[in-house]
Amino acid sequence: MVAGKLKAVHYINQFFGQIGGEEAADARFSVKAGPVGPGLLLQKALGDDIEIVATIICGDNYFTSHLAEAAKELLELVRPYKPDLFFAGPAFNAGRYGIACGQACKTVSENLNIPVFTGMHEENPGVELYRSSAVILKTPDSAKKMGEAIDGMIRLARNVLTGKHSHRFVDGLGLGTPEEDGYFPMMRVRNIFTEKSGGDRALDMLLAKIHKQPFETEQGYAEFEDIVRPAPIRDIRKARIAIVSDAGLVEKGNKAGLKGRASNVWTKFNLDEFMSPGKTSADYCISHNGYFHDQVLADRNRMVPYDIMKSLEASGKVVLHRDYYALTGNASVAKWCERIGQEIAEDLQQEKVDGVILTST
Amino acid sequence: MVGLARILIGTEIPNPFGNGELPKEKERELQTQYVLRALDLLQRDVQATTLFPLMEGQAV
Repeated sequence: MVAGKLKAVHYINQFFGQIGGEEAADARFSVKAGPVGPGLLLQKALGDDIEIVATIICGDNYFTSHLAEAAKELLELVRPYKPDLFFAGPAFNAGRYGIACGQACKTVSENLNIPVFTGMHEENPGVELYRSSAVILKTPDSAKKMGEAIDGMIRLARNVLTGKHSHRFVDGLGLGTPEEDGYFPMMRVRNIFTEKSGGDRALDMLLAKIHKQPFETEQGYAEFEDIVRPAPIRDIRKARIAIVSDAGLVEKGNKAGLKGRASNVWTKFNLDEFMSPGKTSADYCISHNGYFHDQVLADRNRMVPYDIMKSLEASGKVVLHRDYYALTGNASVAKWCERIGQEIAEDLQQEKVDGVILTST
Repeated sequence: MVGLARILIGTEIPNPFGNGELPKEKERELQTQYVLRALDLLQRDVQATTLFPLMEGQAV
């Protein structure tokens, strides 16, 4: 190897590592010297000053089913090469591969403190999970655009190595903004050098707004699609109403494994059994780190309005669905919320539920 | 696609359908009000995601 040449390690899955398709998704880690598969394209585009010294390969199932263990294995395989850079994927819209690439980048970055790069399509779940831990290039959804994705990852790497944008940012990193360099926002606030103070810039924006001139906010907002609004219930007395709560109120032991934050599961209970008057606060668990639990543990009807609904049902004013649905709505990933919502809605539809009271903290 | 059509403002974050500072009977009245209001809102047509107070006419 030429003196001064930088070393890179590349992570790819079993498919791109030419071990096999889905039948090989449980393959354990293997290491090959030099570039393999898309790594050949990566090496060609990197040129002579950066050498891919090794390719780490692992099956998607194995990696994602043993995430913590696999990350440790990967780190011990990468460490001996003492790389200057780490690449993973690109994973495009392959979900398990995206999670593996994201976790690989996170682990290598945190432990070896070197720049890490991967690429994914915006719908890959790995984006939401790892965007704050790795520079993730925005890619098309298909590997047909491999060349384009590889070029993008290299552009990001070169910007970091050459400090292309470092003169503009107080942190001295070579990356430009996500918009400039085509990567997913890493949810970081970066200070930049500007000629005008924040006050002057805010005043400029205000004046532009008053004069109906274009301006660009420095504080963007998340945008969500508008929902399809459910039609109103025509006869509430005959309607079957279910209670859903994102307060994380479950049975002691939390068998479904709801997490206190960023939870990705839901569960349901027979309402009469769950709210049985013979139960005490010791029979429950609240898996939610976002509020104080005392009021609900003292009287769970403050979150799940069971007793009032039962008395209304007894007087023929409504029909209460037999199950209570529980999830945790705290620091959640929007895509997970969407999936959980769809799953619960499908279950409610199968049960002929007409409406829902969703209690939220 | 995530969101809700009808949002009823609860008592407080830790106890949206109750208030432990009230006497038991008063709290039950409050809970009844909340449930009836929620059931009423399920019968309302809304054109956009709409925030509702417990009592009609209250500020939101």
